[in-house]
Amino acid sequence: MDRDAFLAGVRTAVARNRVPNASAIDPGPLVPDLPPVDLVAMFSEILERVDGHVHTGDALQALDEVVALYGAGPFLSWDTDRLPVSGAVAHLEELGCGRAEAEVSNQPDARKAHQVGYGDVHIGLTGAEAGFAETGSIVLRSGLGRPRMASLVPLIHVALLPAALIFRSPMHWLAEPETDIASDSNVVYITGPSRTADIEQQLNLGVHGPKELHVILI
Amino acid sequence: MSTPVTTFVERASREVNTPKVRAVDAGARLLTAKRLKGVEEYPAMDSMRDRAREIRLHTVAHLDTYLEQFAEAVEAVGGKVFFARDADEANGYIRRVARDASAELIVKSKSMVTEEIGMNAALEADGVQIVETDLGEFIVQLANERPSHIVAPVMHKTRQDVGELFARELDVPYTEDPAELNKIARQYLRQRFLRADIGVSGANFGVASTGSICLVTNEGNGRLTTTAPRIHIAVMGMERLVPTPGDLGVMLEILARSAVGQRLTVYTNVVTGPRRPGDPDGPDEFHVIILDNGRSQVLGGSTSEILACIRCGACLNVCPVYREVSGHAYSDVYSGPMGAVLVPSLFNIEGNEQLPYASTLCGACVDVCPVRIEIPDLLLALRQRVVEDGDAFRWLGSAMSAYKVAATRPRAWRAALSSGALFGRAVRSGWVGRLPGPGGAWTDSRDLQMPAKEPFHDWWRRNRGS
Repeated sequence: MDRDAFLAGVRTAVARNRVPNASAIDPGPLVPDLPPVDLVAMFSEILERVDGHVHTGDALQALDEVVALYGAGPFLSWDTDRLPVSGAVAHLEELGCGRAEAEVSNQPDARKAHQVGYGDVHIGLTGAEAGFAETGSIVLRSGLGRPRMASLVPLIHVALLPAALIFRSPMHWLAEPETDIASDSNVVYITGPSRTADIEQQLNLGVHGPKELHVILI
Repeated sequence: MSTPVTTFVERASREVNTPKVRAVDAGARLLTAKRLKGVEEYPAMDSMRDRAREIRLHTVAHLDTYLEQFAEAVEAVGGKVFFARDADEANGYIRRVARDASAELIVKSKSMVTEEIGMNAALEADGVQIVETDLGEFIVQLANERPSHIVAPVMHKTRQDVGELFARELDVPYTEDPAELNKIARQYLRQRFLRADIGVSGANFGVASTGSICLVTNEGNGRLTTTAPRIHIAVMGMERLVPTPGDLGVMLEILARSAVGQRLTVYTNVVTGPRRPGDPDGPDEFHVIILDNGRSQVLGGSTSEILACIRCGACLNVCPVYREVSGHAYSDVYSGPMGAVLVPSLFNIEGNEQLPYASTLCGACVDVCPVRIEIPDLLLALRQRVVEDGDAFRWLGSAMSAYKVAATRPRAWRAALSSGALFGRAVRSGWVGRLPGPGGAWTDSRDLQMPAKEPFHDWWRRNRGS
């Protein structure tokens, strides 16, 4: 339908609209003034409550633990210059994991053929640009050297998060002047591993996304 | 959707007291308990609900402005926008995109609005295969059924039902272990995600200032649908906007808590346009279909407040009527209290006259609604519309028509009672213990009081009247 005609129809309807209390939005405080807490402790507790795992200490040693737990296998990764630990990609390769190509073709058939190969991807290695203590979430942004698929198709997602980037809540992060959810094509909050309770409300992990989520705090 | 061929009472009569409905009741109770726990641990819930209500009502009241802003913002980041008056126009656009791309396979993430427009049937007519990817929706599609709940689509199915269905339809050995069933679905759907031509999603919210759409899923199917295929089409009801990212933040504070008691859904996915230069992956094309399909009618009418709904499903879970009859008794994909308002408002009231009566007006829905929609008021407004259309009581059948005649004329009522003509031997000591016909279910658990000898308005006129 023609846009102008569509919008004209909406405009007519809006003029007749009788919704209660439709005044302009109250710009009151979005971020409640809360007593300070240990953000790292809160983040860790809440993430573990939603079946994620948190590692502190040496990042490369944490990668050793992950590979010891689940075995080595093909991995998708953000580029080294996008990660807060420069040796992480090389370290996974040293542990016997082979890095998969993350650049997807814009030619339809080549794209499909490439992506079908993602069926084998075992580990995904990414950074994160923020964490939320109250919800146990991490925030990932797409862009150059930051494939979305790395946090999506593997069985195990390992995210490297500088502890200094943990905010109290999503609202606190959104209130930061430099936060822009639209500056890249995709921003995602990840809160634990993929889960479903569709069958008799029985919890199952890893239905489409990763079954395991390990956050390594830097 | 078209006018339903059966009535709510007919459908509900088939559902009441079946194992299926008992499963839905149990599921709804569990979700209500989860919600309560989630809300109790979040002290800001009430103030966030107030704020969320203001944001939604404000947006609806200025929808023309925000729609224009949203469309311009989507185009500024390289997306395409199509305004669809109705289901046919929306499906027509998707069919054109599919044809241009020679698409054979479409993956779809859970979306009520694509159910509303009957997208699957329209595309399948062109020979395109559509695969639902939310586990519950996938099960519903394999079983050729409809979702029984807007958030938990297969609440009506047992693990044995799913095991038998998978064995029959997917040619796998029977299992009733949910973990195994989950693994079967993951393997089956994964390969389809990775080679699909188009991904179709709904939109939990659109952000007017940035042209972003936000999709929340726990499974990750929303992310795969909007990442793997070369083309992403988002279908969005035109009312689903919020003005800014900060407003989106408020909605996210209350959505998952209200739906299932989670602090946040596992994947809160914000998509702003197609893949950009340098992005290693993501869709090359991004289309947003903005759908009216009756919404501008609702906007100018007496039930416009329902457009603030954010589809959390909390009102279904607490509704004593929904829990007795399940989502399948309602005539469309939208069920429970929000569906009883939305369906007759969006589509014809004809054929849906009973939906506004599918409520005890107990108000439990308002208590849990994250945006505090006054659902009982809206149901009453619709009942008024039914009465004005002259359709009230027609569907109640002869016994209740007699009730209507008698109840509105006290002398006839008393005469009927004393003669036994209306209720037989049901009368005892001033109370009617058992109504015949459809009224019977009501008097099973309560007695109907005999009408007063002197109607109130007569008494008023005699004692206070001028």
